Amino acid sequence: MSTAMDVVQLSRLQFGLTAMYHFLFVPLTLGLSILLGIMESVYVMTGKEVWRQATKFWGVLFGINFAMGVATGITMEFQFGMNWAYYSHYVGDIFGAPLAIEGLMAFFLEATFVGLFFFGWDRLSKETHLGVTWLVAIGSNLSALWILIANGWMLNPVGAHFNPDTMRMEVTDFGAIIFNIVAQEKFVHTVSAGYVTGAMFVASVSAIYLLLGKHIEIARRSMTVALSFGLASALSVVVLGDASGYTATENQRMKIASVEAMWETEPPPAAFTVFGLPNQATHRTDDALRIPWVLGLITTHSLDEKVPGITELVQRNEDHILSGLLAYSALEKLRADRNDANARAQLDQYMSDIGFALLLKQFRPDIENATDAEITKAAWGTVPDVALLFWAFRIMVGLGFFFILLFGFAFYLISIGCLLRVRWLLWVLAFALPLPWIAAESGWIVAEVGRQPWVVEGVLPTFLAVSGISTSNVLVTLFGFIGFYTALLLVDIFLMIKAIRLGPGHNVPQPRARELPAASGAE
Amino acid sequence: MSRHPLLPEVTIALAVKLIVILAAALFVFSPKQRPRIDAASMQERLIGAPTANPQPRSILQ
Repeated sequence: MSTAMDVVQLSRLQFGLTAMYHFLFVPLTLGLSILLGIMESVYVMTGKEVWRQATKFWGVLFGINFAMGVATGITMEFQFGMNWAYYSHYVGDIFGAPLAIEGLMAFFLEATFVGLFFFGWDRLSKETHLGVTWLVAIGSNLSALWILIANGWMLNPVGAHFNPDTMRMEVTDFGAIIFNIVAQEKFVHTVSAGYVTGAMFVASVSAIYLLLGKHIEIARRSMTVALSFGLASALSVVVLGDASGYTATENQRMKIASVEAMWETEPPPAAFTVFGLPNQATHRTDDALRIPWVLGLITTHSLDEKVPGITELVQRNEDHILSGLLAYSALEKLRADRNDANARAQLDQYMSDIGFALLLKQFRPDIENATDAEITKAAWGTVPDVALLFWAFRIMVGLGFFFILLFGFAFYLISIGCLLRVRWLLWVLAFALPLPWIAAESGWIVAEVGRQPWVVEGVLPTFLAVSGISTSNVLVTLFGFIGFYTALLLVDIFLMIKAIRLGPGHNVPQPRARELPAASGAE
Repeated sequence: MSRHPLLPEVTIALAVKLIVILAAALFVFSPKQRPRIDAASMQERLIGAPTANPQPRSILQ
């Protein structure tokens, strides 16, 4: 079993790393595409050439990021077929549909109009080109929507049922999959995080220009757009993240309890642990610093509703395992006799828990003979890595509040025309550049590590979704991907730095010094 | 629009990337190399070999 578990861990690592590398490119595309639309809208409305230059300059950086990032997600689809073949068979009918729609509709829309964006400046009217730019932004965001519909289904598998004849999940209600509340909330939270990333990128690069005294006109205007958009986005991320946490209390209670390292259920409203050292072995959080009421208010929006702790949820999962064993037994009977009506009825009754029974497969093949100790062990196995989730969540939330303060303060200063004189804040903005990526990757760790041990929440355990391939096979592709993506990232950073050094307006006439307005205040 | 000075470098990087991904798709992740899963193998994966006398527990235990 250890080799099989190695393949599981390596496949998870490979998928996680490729997803995280891919998501280095995605948020910047999401955020910059909207900022391009805003800047070009101002150009079309005011007719001022400087806004056209700004749009073209940030468009070049968008283009580099798009070119380096495009198709980096496709390697994950390779892995679905190779490393996750059982997963692909079991839920491919559902999971594949949004991915296919993303490729056919959103990505082609985005890719087509990216070409028109770059080559249409002198061929299209101002208004038509503006339409193209917004279609690029809409395409990028629609791509994210379909991907997150697929991802949201893994967290909250609605609109599907298991067919024992085909041994796979099949769609019963595509509308329920599309309008899955978890997917919709993940979408708005994720794209808002992308907007923060785009805003921080523009603000940081503009701050560098302002500190160096270069490209002042474009940098000052870009800074104004980035700070206002960044403030609105940072507020959205926090508000929508809160809504996401509220939904998670219904669908992913174990994740919430683990994120809060809340081992025991407390009388409502539960306290929030600001700091602590979660210990998975002793089921305790040492040296905890706690604020009364806050967790209960955040997760239930009430004063009298309980937030179940990990131990209580584990006990509930033991019941789910016992119930799931009845579904498993029905499945065995159906294998012997496809026409056994009683077995079908029993399967329908307990099917929602069969995933829990399958957790026992990691201990023994004949799970109907599992011991109480094995059932308890399997139930405790539904607890994800508490310490990792606890800290990843706090990094994400801490940075989220930092972005609100930073954008808010800087926006206030630029609104009253003082930002350029507060050089320390420009330095802070410049050095804050990588922080949105750290926040976004931490968010993905919370979302995906928090889903473990499930590949599809409550339906299919991760270890059963992995293909029976060799460890060496996974290792080769794992190191191949690490090398490939690292090289790609370095090239992306190299080209970005080069483009930023070249600066805006290298291929358009620069305004003469006497035409420049005073470098203060926002326009 | 005049050509951007970085256009050749971006084009080369994009082309190399697409070649690597295409090569991976053809030589490492091609359908021939993927495990073939059907209803029978999925059943084997989830249920395993049949047991002589399955004795499911009661949830009322």
